Amino acid sequence: MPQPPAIHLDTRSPVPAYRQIADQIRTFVVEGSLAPGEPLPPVRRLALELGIHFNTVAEAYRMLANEGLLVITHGHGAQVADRAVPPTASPQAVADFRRSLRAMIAAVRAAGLTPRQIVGELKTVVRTLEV
Amino acid sequence: MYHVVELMLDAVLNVIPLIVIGAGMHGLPRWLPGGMTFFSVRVPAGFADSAAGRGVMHRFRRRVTILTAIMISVLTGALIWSGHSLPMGATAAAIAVQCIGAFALLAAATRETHGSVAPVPAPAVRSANLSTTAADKRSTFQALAYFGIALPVAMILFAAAFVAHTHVASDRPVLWLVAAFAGAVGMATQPITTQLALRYWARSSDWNRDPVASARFRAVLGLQHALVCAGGVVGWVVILTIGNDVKPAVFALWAPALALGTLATNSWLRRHVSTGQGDPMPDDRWTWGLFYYNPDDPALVVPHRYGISLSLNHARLATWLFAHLPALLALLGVLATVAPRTNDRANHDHPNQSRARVDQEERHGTVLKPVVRGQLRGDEG
Repeated sequence: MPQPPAIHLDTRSPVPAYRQIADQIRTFVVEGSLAPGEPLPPVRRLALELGIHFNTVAEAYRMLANEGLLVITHGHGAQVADRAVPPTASPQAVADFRRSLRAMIAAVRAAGLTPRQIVGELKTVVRTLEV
Repeated sequence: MYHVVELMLDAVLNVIPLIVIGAGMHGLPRWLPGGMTFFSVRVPAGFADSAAGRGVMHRFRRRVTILTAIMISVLTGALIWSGHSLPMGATAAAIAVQCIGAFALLAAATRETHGSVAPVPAPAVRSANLSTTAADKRSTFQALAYFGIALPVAMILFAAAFVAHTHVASDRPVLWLVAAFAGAVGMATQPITTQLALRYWARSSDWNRDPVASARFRAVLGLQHALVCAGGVVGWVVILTIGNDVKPAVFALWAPALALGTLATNSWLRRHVSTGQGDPMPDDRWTWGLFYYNPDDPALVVPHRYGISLSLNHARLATWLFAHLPALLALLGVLATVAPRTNDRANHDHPNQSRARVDQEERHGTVLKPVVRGQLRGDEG
């Protein structure tokens, strides 16, 4: 039986806690570690185990719900949304992605990675996230 | 002599629950069925990972919760049994014995859970599993269910006390019922609000140093104390008015003073909450694990080291002005009001009869034969 995915929160990271949580859950959903319809733990329990305020976890859940990755229903908590047909990316989402990618590539180029290495890494990551 | 025996019996009855609590804190309830878990109170982040602290706080809080309910039941039973017939001085002495015993036992328990455990810093990288369990759906229900358990139990016990009391002394049953209801609500409110505060505000505030959450946590506990005090005081005011002919002015002044003090405290702590640099409540600032004294901590109201209820920072002047001084004045006022009446009338004129029975005789203009408690109950039963 596969182990359920675990979230790791680095309190030393400059990335806000809710972003760290949302990024990891998004990754699990896209790569299939979290199946559609699968319930997520309550925000208070997750906040307790991560040692953060429950509003931080709730903010991450809300962010993912706005992206269409989670469905939050009153009394039933959060569940992974059924995304049999992935939504079509909006022009705004593409523009945001391009801007983020440019900044990220600039950072790793400054760190010494060559364009060939960057392309190779991108291909590897994309392959792991293909459903 | 009879009153001495009565006082001793009442004191023993008051101490029995404390003995139960002490036994519980030292491991007795591990014989209880495993399913008797009312709440899902968790240990703070980081503490559970230490070898010494694994699970100890969880067990400790669970035991205290269960045994608090037992203590309330036994105390109420003692009140029923005595029919409020003790002189006020004797009752005050019994309550003092109870408070001292409670402090001693809690100090022992706090040493057990914290004395030998070094503070464990929260890890920088924390992990949480995304799996869900049945307990996730049950915990809120359990917390709410406890209120559903505590309130009816308290009401039943108070109703029994009401019946017993009306047979003995009271000719104003409606007021006594109001007092019983206020007392029952006050008693049932304390555990549930504590647990709700722990559940919704405690972990991510005081253990993780979130100032906003910390302020909420402390404010909720302040509100809890206000509710408990108000409920208890209202109940006692009515009881004393009916049963003992004691002027309730001191208590009537005490209730709004406590409420105002709580509001002032909450306002104060919202402005003076810990900023979160370092451990806000280091162990060496706790005397016997019970009394918090930290001039470096701007907070006035802090949670107890063992996690239930609240304590005060005794390094702050406001602690003495708002908390200890009014309590001392109220205590002196009560003693000054009660002692002369109790000594002069109940003990000297009618050495073998209770205060309530003397009142009853004077109201009806009759002189009843001195009787002991058992005979009195038997006559009325």
